[in-house]
Order: sequence, then structure tokens, then C-alpha cells
Amino acid sequence: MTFDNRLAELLDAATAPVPPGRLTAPLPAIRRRIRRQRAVIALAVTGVAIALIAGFALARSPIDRAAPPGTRGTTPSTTVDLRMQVAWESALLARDGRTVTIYAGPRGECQELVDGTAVITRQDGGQVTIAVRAWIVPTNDCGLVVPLQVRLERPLGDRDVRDAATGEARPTYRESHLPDLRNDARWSPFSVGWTAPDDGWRAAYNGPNGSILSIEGEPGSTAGGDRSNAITLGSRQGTLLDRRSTWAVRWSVGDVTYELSVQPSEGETLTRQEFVAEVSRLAWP
Amino acid sequence: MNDFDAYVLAAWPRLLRSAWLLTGDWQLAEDLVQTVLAKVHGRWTRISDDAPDAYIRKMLATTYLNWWRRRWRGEVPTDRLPERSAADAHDALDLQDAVRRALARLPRQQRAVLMLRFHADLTEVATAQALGIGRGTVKSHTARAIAALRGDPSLRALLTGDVQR
Repeated sequence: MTFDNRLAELLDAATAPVPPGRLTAPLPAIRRRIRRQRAVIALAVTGVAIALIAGFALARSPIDRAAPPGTRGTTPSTTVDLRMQVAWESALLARDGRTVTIYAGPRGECQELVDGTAVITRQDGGQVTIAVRAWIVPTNDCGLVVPLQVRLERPLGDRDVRDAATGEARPTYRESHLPDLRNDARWSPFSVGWTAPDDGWRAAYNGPNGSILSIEGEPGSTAGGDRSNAITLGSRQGTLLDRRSTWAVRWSVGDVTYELSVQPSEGETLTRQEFVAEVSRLAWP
Repeated sequence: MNDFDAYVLAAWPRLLRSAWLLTGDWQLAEDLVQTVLAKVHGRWTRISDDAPDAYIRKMLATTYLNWWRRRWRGEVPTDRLPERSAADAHDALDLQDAVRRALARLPRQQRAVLMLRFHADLTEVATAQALGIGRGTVKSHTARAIAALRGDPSLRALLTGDVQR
């Protein structure tokens, strides 16, 4: 028997004992999913069709009626955006200081944003205001936030980032507050999703032996903490936290707080010493 | 009963097993298979004549990779015990547990490659096409996954013995 056959047989044998309650196909549940999926597609197609027709009609009619003879075709056309303006959750400023990722999600039950865009509606010395527009459709992936990017004309600096829908300043996380993992071959990023309403921010990385490094941001600042758990993170101080089978480190910058944790592979644990060693290997600002 | 329903009833257990190799959890496996079958339904007439199992297993792998990325809180590795079958074959359950633990240590792409190569019986080229990666990447994922499984004390004896690769 070849090794390949042996491995195939091993996988077959390992999957043989299926819990009895799961051996029969749940056809009604599958049919429900199919119906829900059809409804989502129909709604999305209808929405896009209505938008195209309405936008075309509204954009063309005034030009046809009002354009003086000889100027047709030179008048700038107008477009009408029928998508909903959506309140957004949080923002992430990239290391370049100018690229802002906006995280927006629907607040209703089992909806998602489709064809979303973020645009800067106002920027001055004290603030940048950003509006998000999108279709809101029913979905199976309820309430997932979507990332949408805008690029500022000049670095954000210490300006607020505000939501055009509410006028409020939103939590703004900054890559410059985080360890730089771009050149760390041990950690490779993967996209993570979370659901609205949630004004936090998250990132995660696959690491050695199936471990996962995750970073979460949340609004608010945490003061000092237990000095015996203090740890130096580059130019900042953080606090070590015991997380049962592993450890985490928490630090605040301005009005936001971050927490970095390393989840070892299933069944493994990470000691305080090992975690501190991992954290020390990261490139902190 | 239509053709799709008949296929689902017959193929369900084997698709569920493939999904378990990816997720290591029967409930998540069932959710994954249901998700893929709902997607497949709309294109059933196109795929039903040509090895639907292979097609659906490729979708299981790609949906699993995408799905896992998108669900932050639902599918991180966990300490909780796996759901146990009522079967009395303790050896089989021990083996299942050993494989589950070994697979849980692998990165997700390696698990997807292992499932497609050794459970769905796809070639390296078909696996590469299914996952949108290069054939060399499939080779390296396979080699690393096998090395990891061989390094697992509970599986080493089952996988090595006197067999030459």
C-alpha cells in the first residue's frame, strides 16, 4: 500500500463515525436556505435595476428638456445615487497616514451591505467627514461589516474622523499604534469579519504550527493596571493579561485601546514566558 | 422527489465527512455542507451530469476558506470536547479524535489541500485549480501537512510503518 493510499484510508476511517443524528440530510433546512438565497438575489437584482432605470431617467430628463440647442452632449450629466446612506462603525488609518478604511455594517437583523462606497464629504483643519452609501439587502451572513477605503489629500494627523450620517466622531484606530507584521514571515494575515453594531476593529494572522495572532481595538482608554504585569512594547507600556490557556497584552493610545493575543493550536497552551518572548519578537513602534 | 433532493440524500454522509475534515466539528460541517448545497442548487443542471461530488467538495474547500475568514467569533480553535458518535467503536473514535487534533494544528489551506487530495481524490493540478493556487503551492502544502501528521505521535505508527512513499 502506498503512503497516499494509507493516508486516504486513515482519513476515511477517521470520518467513519458520524453522530447518528447527523446521518440524514436535513432537506427542509437546505430548501429554506435555497429560498432565502433566491430572495436575496431577486432583491439585489431588483434594486440594481431600479437604480439604473431611475438614475438614467433622472439624469437624462433635465438635459433633454433644458439643454439649449447645440449644447447637448457638452452639459455635464448628473447622476442620482439611490443607495442608502449608512452610519458606519469605525475607521482604521494605514501607516501612510492618508489611507482610511471605514468599517460599515447594517444595524437591522440579517442584512448586509452591497455595493458600498465611502466618500469624503468634508475635510478641514479639524476633521474629515466621510459618508458611506450602500444597498441594504437580506442575507445569511447577518450584519457583517464591510471595509471601504478612502484616501485623504493630506495626512490625517490629529484630526477627527466623522460620520456624515450622524456628524459624530468615530473611533479611529491606527496602524502606527500596532506592531508591524508586514515583514515578519512567521505571521500571515487573513481577513476577519465581525458584525455591526460594533465600533471595535480586528485583525488576525496565521502563525507557526496553526497558531493565531489576533489584535482587537476598542474605544476608550485603560489606565495602568497591575505593575507586576507591565510590559514594554517598543515606545509604549502595556499590561499582560492571563487568558486561561494563553496570554494577551493590552495597551492604550489616546482614546483607543488595543489587545493582542496569541492563540496556540488546539490543545496547546502558551506560558507567560513564551508569550512575552513572542511579543518581544514583534516590531513595535 | 427531484434529482437534486435524491442526490443530497445519497451524498449527504460523504459530503459531511469531507466537511468535517475541514472544520473538525460536526455542527460546523453540517452548516458548511448546507451552505454549499444551497449555492449549488441554482447550477444543478449544469453540474449534475459530471461528477457532482468532486465539484461540491471543491466548493466545500473554497467556501470553508472564505467562510472561516469572514466569521470572526464562530470558529476559532476551542477547548470544548467534540461531539461524540453513539457508535461503540472506541478505537474508531480515538482515531477520529487523534485526526481531529492533528488537523486542528494545520493551517486552513493545508487542511483544504489534504481533504481535496486524499479524501476527494483530486490530482495536484485539480486541487491547485480548485483553490486558485499554484501546483507548487499544493505540493508544499501537502508535504508540510504530511510532515505534521507524521510528527504526531498518535498518528505516526498508522502513517509510516514499513511503507515507502
